[in-house]
Amino acid sequence: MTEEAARRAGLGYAWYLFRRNRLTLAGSAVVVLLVLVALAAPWLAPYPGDATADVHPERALLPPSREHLFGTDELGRDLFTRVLFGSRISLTVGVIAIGLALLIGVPIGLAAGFFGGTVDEVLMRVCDVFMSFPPLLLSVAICAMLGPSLTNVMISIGVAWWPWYSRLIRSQALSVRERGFVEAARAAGVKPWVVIWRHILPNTMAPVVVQASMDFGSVILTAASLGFLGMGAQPPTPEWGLLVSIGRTFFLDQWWYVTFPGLAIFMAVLAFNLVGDGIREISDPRTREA
Amino acid sequence: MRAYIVRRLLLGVVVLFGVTLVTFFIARVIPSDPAARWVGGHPTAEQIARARVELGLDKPLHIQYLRYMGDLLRGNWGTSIRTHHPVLADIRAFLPASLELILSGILIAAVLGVPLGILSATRKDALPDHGARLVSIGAVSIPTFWLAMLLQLLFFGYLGLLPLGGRVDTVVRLTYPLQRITGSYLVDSLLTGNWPVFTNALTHMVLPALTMAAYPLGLITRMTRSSLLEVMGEEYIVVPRAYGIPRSVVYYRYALKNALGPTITVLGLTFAYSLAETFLVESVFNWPGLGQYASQSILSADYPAIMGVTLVVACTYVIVNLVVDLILAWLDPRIRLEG
Repeated sequence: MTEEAARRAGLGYAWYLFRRNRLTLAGSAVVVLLVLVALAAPWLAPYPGDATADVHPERALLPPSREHLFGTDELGRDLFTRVLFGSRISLTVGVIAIGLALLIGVPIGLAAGFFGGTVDEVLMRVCDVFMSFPPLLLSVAICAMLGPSLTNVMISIGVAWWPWYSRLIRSQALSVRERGFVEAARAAGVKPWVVIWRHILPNTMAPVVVQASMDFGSVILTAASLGFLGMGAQPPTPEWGLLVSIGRTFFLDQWWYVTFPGLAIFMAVLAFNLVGDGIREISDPRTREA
Repeated sequence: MRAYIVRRLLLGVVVLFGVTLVTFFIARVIPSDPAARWVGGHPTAEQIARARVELGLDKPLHIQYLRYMGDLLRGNWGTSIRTHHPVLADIRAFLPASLELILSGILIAAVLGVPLGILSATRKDALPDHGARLVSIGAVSIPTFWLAMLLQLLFFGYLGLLPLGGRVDTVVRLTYPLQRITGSYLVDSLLTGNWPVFTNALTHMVLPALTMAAYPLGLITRMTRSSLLEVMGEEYIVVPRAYGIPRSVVYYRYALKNALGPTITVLGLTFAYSLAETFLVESVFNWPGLGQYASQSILSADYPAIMGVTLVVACTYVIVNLVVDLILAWLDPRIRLEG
């Protein structure tokens, strides 16, 4: 078997394991749906103007009906529309926050793994320190100091998340460093940073990409939690956490106000976590074969 | 063992030191005008100038940090803008209520999660396993602030069975005054035999504790499952099974004991997570703990209080981790011999 064929068979087997698990499959379906909804929100939403600052006092706080599937809020805006548009915010925040965490974490992990010794020791202690804060707490502290805004939510989550990627990529770099092609490149006098960029980085990315996709759910949840605490998007942005937070004033009489935005958060996070868990099961032979 | 403990303690001190560096940076270096933040509200130029001297912002950074550390060690954590009390005194007053809530949540999670994890591992890929997986993933995915409101809606709004929030009804508190011993209403009322307060506090505890249990429940179930599955392939499990020793004996006597290590680690981890979760849960249940203190501080831009809570939670996390590591080393000779 050629190397290419073997790899394809491996991927095929992974796909088979992935497909076999119905929960994982259901999760992926919801993820795909979520992305489609986010892309098509302006066309899917029945009242696109309600996504922002439209006000219709005559239809405030209406219960769910055929015209308003999720009911309306205190300003008469259609909650279904607002929840649909909220998906765009959550997905964007997730992508940018994780991108930022990778941007900080990957170079640090590479440096620690490649240079080793004191550099490694110091960088890993810095990781330990950042990992001593529960991510939500560190994000809250940073957001509090920067002031409430969606941008600051992304920055604060990125800053709270990077050490996990550093740890992971360091352990990868440690093993790749010993491989023949790295040794050959260094013996040929290639500069360290070129070795890192050309030879180490491409060979360490796979597990990091997997980990990042598994973290998507937790990042969305953290962002929504920050929104709920009032540290993220500000009204009239239809951010899911913020919607639940505002709905709190009304929830005992207007149950739909917090129920649907919260359900959206739950479904999105659950879907990403189901997919992540499926990937974990596949990539860990110990739980697969036992 | 002693060498391991010493090394672990030293590492803990280094990390604690690093934690203060991070909080120092967040509090004093990130904001464009930390002095104005520290005073709060709409400060006058004079107030800002005074705060700048007080915080030592006119000095170089390393001197500022040394003063910051000195203040922390002397117990001077600043004054809350909102309550006008010293931050450390506020934290001391609010922490017991949070600890009571967190420990109850973790207790519920452990009691439900370990058996669920065992069920999941022993019936792998069967219906119970799928159910348990859905529960464990669902539990870590559900927004706790939302779960809290759903429980309130159901048990208070529709069924009228449980109170909406608070630790104890005002009437009960005034009629049967509670002597403060530990700060936990449940423990204190038990110790003093104050039954009316105990039962009332218990009904107030149910919903917040259930909410707090969700996240740990998910982690504990998953960890018990995966570490059990890992142990299942070991010879000391396969051999007794081959000899015909009953499943239940093998699983509970041999497998579980060896699989519990990671679960204990997760318990330590969930403790820190729960501390941060209280920010979300306590404000919904109007639970007068550290989390409600923090979330109110956030709303009123009370920076000294926010940074104080951050520091306490991070330090607690480091210390809990240290304790967990020491317990594990004590339970499992392999760890301490390796190190």
